[in-house]
Amino acid sequence: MKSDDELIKAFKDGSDSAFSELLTRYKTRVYSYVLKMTGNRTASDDLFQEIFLKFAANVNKYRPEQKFSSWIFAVARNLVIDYLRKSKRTAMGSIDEGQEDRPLLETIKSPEKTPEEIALLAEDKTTIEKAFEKLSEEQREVFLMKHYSKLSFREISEIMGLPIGTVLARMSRATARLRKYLPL
Amino acid sequence: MECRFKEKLLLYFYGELDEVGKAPVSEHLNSCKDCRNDLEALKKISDYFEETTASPPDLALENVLNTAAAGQTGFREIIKVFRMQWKKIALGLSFAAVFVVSVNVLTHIDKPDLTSMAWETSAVSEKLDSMEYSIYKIRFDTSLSYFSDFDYTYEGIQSQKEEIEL
Repeated sequence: MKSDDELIKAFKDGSDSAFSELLTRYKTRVYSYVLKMTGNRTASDDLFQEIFLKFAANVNKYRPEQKFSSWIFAVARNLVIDYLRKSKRTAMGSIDEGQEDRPLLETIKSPEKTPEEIALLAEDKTTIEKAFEKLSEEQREVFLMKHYSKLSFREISEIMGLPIGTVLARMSRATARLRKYLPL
Repeated sequence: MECRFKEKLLLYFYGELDEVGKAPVSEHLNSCKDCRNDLEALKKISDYFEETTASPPDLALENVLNTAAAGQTGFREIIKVFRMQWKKIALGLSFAAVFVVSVNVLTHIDKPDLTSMAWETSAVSEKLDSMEYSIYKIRFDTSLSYFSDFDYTYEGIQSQKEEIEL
């Protein structure tokens, strides 16, 4: 399997299939992060496209010493923050205009699951979803970034421009809060 | 009181500790039920997030692929043309540069910049302008008076001549 850097180099040299491979590799993680941060599918579809097109347009500026996953999640984060700011302003003017009422966490795919497993997952879903809604936006952001980007806390702290201690503290508080609602 | 291992527990769970860092956390877990519960919760939540990933719709993927390919093709075409024709392009650009410079030099040679003169506001320039204007005015008045005096004199002589003839 080719590394991200090899695919980016191939894409720079004109290989469309290299771009397609990168897209396939990251589409689920990036889209899940965006969807769970915004809670809006239409906006997520647009943001997802914007993120990857931004990469395609700026591929020549991409520095090989930078990790692709860091780069793509940094772009995703910035676009999500912009979107959330704008939607907050819109919401202040007119409530729910253009917004879809969707749960923050969605079970999209659960292949190869028995009915019991699906039922358990649905139960967990409700619990975790409710617990997740109790988190602050900053805690949610760290949590989702960690789970979907698979980046280290050090890399996440660089993307967010925060000390690693702050990132760990947010994650720790988020975990403690979620734990309160989970039956253990 | 909150356990001082909370943040280390996160690094432990996500595999971001080396062997030296792992050992005290492992040892601590044996004696701390709260941290064991945290670890279990983390595992449950992580599994849940893995199970509930979402995929973008096919249309969004198609759009991204098509737009990126079109952009790359356009860019590649420009590069290709440039690589093939770079000598001609360079020659054309050189000619254009020489032409622009020549036109610029020819249009400005020996001609004072009237615009900048008009906007020149230093005291010296103002005085010079005023003197220049005075000279111009005197010349103009003189020339006018010369012609008008001449006409006047000529008409006077003519009328005197007519009176004599009568």
